[in-house]
Amino acid sequence: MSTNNWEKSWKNQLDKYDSPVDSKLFESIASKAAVKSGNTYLFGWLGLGFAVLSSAIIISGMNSKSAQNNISSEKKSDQYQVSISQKQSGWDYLTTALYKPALAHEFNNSGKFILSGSSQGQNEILLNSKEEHTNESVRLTVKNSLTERNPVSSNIINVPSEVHSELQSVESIIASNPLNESEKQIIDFEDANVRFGAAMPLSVLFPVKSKLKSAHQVKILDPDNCFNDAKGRSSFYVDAFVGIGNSIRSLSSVENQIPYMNLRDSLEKSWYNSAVGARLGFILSSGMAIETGAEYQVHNEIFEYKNESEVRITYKYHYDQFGIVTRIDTITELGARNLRTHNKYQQITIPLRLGYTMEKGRWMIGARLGVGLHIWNHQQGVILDNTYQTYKIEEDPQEYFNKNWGMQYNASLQIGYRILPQTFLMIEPVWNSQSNGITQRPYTLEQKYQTLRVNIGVRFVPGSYY
Amino acid sequence: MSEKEIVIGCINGELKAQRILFDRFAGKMMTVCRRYAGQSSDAEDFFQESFIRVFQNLHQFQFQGSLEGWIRRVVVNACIRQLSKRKLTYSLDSDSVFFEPEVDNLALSSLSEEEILSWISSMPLGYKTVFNLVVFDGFSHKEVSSMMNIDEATSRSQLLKGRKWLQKRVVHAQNIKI
Repeated sequence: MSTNNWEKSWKNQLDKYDSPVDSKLFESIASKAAVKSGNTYLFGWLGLGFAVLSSAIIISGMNSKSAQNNISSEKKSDQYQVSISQKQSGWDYLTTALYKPALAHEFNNSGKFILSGSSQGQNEILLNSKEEHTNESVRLTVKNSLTERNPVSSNIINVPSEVHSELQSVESIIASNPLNESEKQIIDFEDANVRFGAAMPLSVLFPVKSKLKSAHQVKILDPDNCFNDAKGRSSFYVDAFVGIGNSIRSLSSVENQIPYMNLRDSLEKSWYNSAVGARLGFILSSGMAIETGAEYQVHNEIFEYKNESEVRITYKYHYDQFGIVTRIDTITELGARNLRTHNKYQQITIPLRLGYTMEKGRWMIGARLGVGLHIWNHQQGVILDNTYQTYKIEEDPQEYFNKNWGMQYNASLQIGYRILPQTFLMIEPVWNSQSNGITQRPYTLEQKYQTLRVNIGVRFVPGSYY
Repeated sequence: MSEKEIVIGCINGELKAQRILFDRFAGKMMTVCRRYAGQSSDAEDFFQESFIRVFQNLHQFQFQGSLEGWIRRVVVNACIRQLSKRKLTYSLDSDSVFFEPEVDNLALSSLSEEEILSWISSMPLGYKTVFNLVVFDGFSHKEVSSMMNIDEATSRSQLLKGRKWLQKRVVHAQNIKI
């Protein structure tokens, strides 16, 4: 027999040979495979969210870079006219601001920029922002607040302290460069290096080449009707919220355990659902939005158990001087047992949701639809197990409950009211439904939740221009 | 339950299907792991890691070729990955390189499966890995060289040395006169 033959013989023997395998290995492998698979889903989920948001950032950046700004300033008799034309993503914008120098303005010590006037005259600022493509325009006339019955709130603008001194330097530049009334002048205020924030739209009143990056920063809007042209802008937002509502539990019998299922239903009552969370989202110029984040929620229930003929058996051990058991007393007690516990089913969920947002005036309304991945589940309390004995879920020797992953569908309506230039107060009715139960497969019942909740929170829009 | 039903069940995370697949192939795959591992505890580690990979990657099985062949490939790759975490040394001990006994190959062919596994697991790691890949799992020296990041010549010499190493010790152990 040649060398190859014994090798072939060995190969044939071993290919068919079943080595003994410890059957306990299967449980370990199955659980690890499930966890690793869950990790894969989580990383995929986070990766998807990250990719989408990154794309949004890139697109936003490209739009920003593609914006072309031209600023010119012209003095016409008693007023300055500032014209800012922009081209962005194929849309043309033109904003003009007429600034009557008679209008006095000053900064007070608390960092407020105050437009003030006298009873003899009326200060006036005329602003016009126009989208050339649609011919839609927004106009604003701010008159002397002192002579108006109802002062216009935007006459007082918060000025960051670090901007204050720079504004004053701009003033001095203007003062030292008087404009020729008869000819149009282009003024380059590059040196002023003013960092006007987007929260200061009236900054365009000054003929300053501020760091304008997109069209929305030069739009001057009526403070009481300033959200009409929300379209055409993209922005990130951050939500923080708390919520409270109802959890609707459903139990279904996996292995024809209807009596046991009905008994559990009668002993456990839904109490309330509470949640807290934070989200990061991005609204495209079309109004389409995508958001993700993290949400912690608790389904609260009350377990009430009464047994008028409870039998309790305890064992009392007696030891000799050497610590050896010499006698065991069995004590049987008969009595009533009343048990009331607060059961909590906690989850942390990472949602990924798409939707649409519209804005009108100071109001914002949006709808969201998406899915959520439960990345952590924890249960505590007492239930009746399928041998009709009470047991603490935390100890969970039967491992009835799923500690790992799960999915949910969710939908919500977001209604917000702008309380600050960059901040909405938001109320959000939410519905979500678990696609798979919080129980594990070997358990005879499947336990699922649907939730109806109302979240209350705030939406912060960094770089908001309203 | 057909093979297709088992695979689909496993992909859907059904414990029952996973159990059936495990019971069907665990023995043979443990044999593969024992071939590559030196000690039984290593074999169990290899086996666990391999089956986790099987369950996680089963969705990639295209129902072309046998399921057993696909699983075996996953297991071999997992074993190699585990071994690559250890530093393989390729021995140049010369005593066996030129030892070419006229062995009674019939004696080699008459070993039981457990004896074969015992001899293979006792081989030096470098010999054993190449011997396993080429003789049992049908890889060419070119494939072995890329899998193990070694020269083809090293792969050939390791196989030769491994083969002689086995012949010498098995023959001596059985007190066969050369």
